[in-house]
Amino acid sequence: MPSAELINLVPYLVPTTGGLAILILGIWPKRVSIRLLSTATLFFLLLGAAATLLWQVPGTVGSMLVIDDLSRVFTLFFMLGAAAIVLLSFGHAPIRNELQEEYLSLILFATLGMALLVSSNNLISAFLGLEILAVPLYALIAWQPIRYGAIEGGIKYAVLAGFATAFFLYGVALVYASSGTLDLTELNTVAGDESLLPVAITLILVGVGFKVALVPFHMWAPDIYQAAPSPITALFASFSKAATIVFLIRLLCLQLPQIWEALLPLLWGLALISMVVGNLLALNQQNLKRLLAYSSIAHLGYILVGLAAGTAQGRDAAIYYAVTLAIMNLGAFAVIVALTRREQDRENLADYRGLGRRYPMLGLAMGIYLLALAGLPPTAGFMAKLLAFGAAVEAGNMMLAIVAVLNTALAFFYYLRVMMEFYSEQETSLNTIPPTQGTLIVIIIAIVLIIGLGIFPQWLLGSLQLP
Amino acid sequence: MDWLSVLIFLPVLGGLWIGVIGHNKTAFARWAALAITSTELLIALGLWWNAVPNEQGYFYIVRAPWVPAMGIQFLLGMDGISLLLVLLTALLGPVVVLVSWNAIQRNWPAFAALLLATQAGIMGVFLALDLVLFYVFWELMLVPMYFLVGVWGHERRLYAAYKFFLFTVTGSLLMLIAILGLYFTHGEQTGIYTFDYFELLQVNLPDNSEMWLMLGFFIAFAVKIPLFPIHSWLPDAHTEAPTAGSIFLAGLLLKTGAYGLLRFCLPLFPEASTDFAPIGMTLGVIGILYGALLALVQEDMKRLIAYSSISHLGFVVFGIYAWNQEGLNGAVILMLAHGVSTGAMFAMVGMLEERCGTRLLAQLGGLLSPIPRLASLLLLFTLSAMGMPGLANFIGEFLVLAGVFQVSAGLAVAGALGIIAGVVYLLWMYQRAVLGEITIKRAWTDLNRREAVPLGLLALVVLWLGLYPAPFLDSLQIPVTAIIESKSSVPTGSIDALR
Repeated sequence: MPSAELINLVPYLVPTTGGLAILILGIWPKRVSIRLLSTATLFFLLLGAAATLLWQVPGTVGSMLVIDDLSRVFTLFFMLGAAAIVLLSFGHAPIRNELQEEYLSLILFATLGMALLVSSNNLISAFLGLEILAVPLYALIAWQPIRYGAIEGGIKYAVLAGFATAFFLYGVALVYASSGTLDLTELNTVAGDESLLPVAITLILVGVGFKVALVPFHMWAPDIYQAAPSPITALFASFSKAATIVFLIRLLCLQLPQIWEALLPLLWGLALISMVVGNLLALNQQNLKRLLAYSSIAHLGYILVGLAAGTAQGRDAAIYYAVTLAIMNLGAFAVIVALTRREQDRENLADYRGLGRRYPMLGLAMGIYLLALAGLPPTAGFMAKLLAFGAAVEAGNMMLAIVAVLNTALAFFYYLRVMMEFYSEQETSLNTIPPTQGTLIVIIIAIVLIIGLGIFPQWLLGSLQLP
Repeated sequence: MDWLSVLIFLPVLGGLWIGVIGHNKTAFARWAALAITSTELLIALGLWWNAVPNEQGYFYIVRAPWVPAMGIQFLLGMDGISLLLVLLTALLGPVVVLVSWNAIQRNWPAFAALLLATQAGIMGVFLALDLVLFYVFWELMLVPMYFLVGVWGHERRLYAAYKFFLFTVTGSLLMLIAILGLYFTHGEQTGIYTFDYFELLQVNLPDNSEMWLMLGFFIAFAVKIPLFPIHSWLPDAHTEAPTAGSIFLAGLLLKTGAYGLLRFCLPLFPEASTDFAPIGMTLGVIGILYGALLALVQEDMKRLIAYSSISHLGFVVFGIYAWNQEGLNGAVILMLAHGVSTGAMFAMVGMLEERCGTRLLAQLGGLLSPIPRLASLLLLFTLSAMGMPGLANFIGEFLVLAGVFQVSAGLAVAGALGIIAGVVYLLWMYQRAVLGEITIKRAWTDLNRREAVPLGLLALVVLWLGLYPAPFLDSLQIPVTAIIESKSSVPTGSIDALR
């Protein structure tokens, strides 16, 4: 193996060895404190992030992984994101005492899964990435088994993700049957069975749709969002979804443009129902975590509005939107973590009543995240919507653009409701514990990124040199 | 130094400054807000003093790249119309701060920060000439306003704030789609993808898409104005808002809608707007009469003035769609006059409420003898609002009617009926509130200096506009001519046939 490929492998090796190292430290005869373990995890993640900067772009690892701007930006993003999740977990009182070496190593493995997923150039490596990502998540959702609903949530996710995997694998099998290869670059060039390939990709799309909770594959999302501890919810609400979306973009937009063309009506329909159903279900939701789950479903719809345009603008919009959505969700869940109570998360909106007044900084942060999710300028949420709707208008999807716009207006309803609870004059009597510094750092970085990317979108778009 | 950016960023940064370090420092927040808004006013006056128009009528242009990849610029420009509205915005700033001085009791620093942010957003709306930038400011002024109404308002404030926000956001999102449609049409025609207003003026739109795009803009502006039948957020928002919020809403936010029609709807879509003009004028007339009729039966002074705003803004739309020299001049002058006189009336209702504890006409009465200064100033503004010659509104209404008369005598007569109704409800309001037997017994205090100064300033402007409107009309000369030319550049049927 040439040395360039070895260097390119480093960002994958770091979380792997890191995960194993943390496990070994955990069974070390002398007890290692959890603070030290967390620090070590952060160290591995930052090391992995630094290693992505050494990547020689463009490059490959075998024929399985492709190293380009897209995978570099996102791998870096996921490494830092996972670091944020570790910080949040450390600041989250309900699971802080349950933090063990397994928890941290699972986060490292999940990061590996995400990194593999965004750079895989082969359906098998994509499958591996997807599973390496999903299996730690089952365990992490059910992390604190005594918590109400934890086991149920874990099992639910495992079963449904199993279904998704089955669809995905069936699709992969059909791809192989139709063309005789699983390599995405080759797939584009070999003349296979013309009619079978779109069907196969549709099945893969169904599998992916489960993972990112598109309507009609969204049933699990609110339950799992609610069941998982908030830092873990943040992990799969933001980063794992973004990873899956990026894989979808690589598959459809970069490697198989002709299939993308063929699937546009399907994407159109999925976008439409995801937006409408997600927003309608969020409208009357009283549980903040569930509300955010439904709103994410709607946001996935907006991402598909971009993809359904079938143009380079639509693809860029989807990429930008995926990053933005990840940051916004991370921020919102970070605030939930910061306001957690000793034994469990606050869930109902009423539990947040008046907290924006008591903690002006957290209130302001939540306000910014919610306005960004709602799509108000000058946040990144606005720019993402501008790009996505712009792509739809340019492609002539006028109807879709107008439905998306009306949905955005609808969404203001529930985001404002959350905000009003935060600034309500009555105050909840439930006490809170002061947030840790790590949580505050995550919150501040998320604000800076949301405003920064909103005012200077070329920070992100300029760093992606896509065809 | 580009002073236009200063106009926008000074209140933003000032608001942040007060919000961050002003925690629990009420006096500091008040004085700082007063200082910042006064500086704004001085800058605006300075800009007026030094204004020299270029050949397109723009006094100042600021241009900087923002998102070059998408052709979004930081493009600000000030022509005569913008200038007058910026002056109005700057004038109402210190007024609002002074009026809120004691009326706002909770959390002054946050209040001041939001007030300044609203002012910055409105300034941006009047100055932005890049369509995305315009949209950014257009949305930006809503959020602080929402909080002003929702946090410091009266009993049903949350409902009102909600309604206000949802109405306007829905409208403006449709405008966003129209902006994108315009952008891509222009891009496909010329290969230049830009949101630059001056570039987009050149676009040739296919017939039916021009109408759709125009409607996208129109709905956003009509919600803000507010035109019948999408006006229903306004009475609620006005009634529930704190005095400062009402002044900003009536004085400035409604003007942004009319300004949008002048700046974007007519010049960008001349053909569709010509076709649409009869409908626009009809909606204006309905607004005039409907607002006036509802104002007649209001018991709450604030609600009454809110409905009278619908009526007055109907006149503005009326004048805009008459689309000739008199109509457009009248519309802009009326926007200023309404901003000043209605702003002042809201301020005085707020002061009355502080003194009497009520705004209900049935419970007021006989205030002339205990508080003569307040009562007589209120008379001045009431007379102005109902169109007394020699005061501000008269010039505007007169010009609008003169303009409309050239287009349709019948509509002009219908509009004039609105003025008559205005005389009735405003005089009746004044009679019930101020004349007659005194109903509330307590120790009265007349206007103090803090209240008298801003009102005096507004009274001065009302008289100036009424007696000597020439300087204002002068600065309208070039931009209004440009808007009229955009109409006459519409190819007529015969020319089309020749092609």
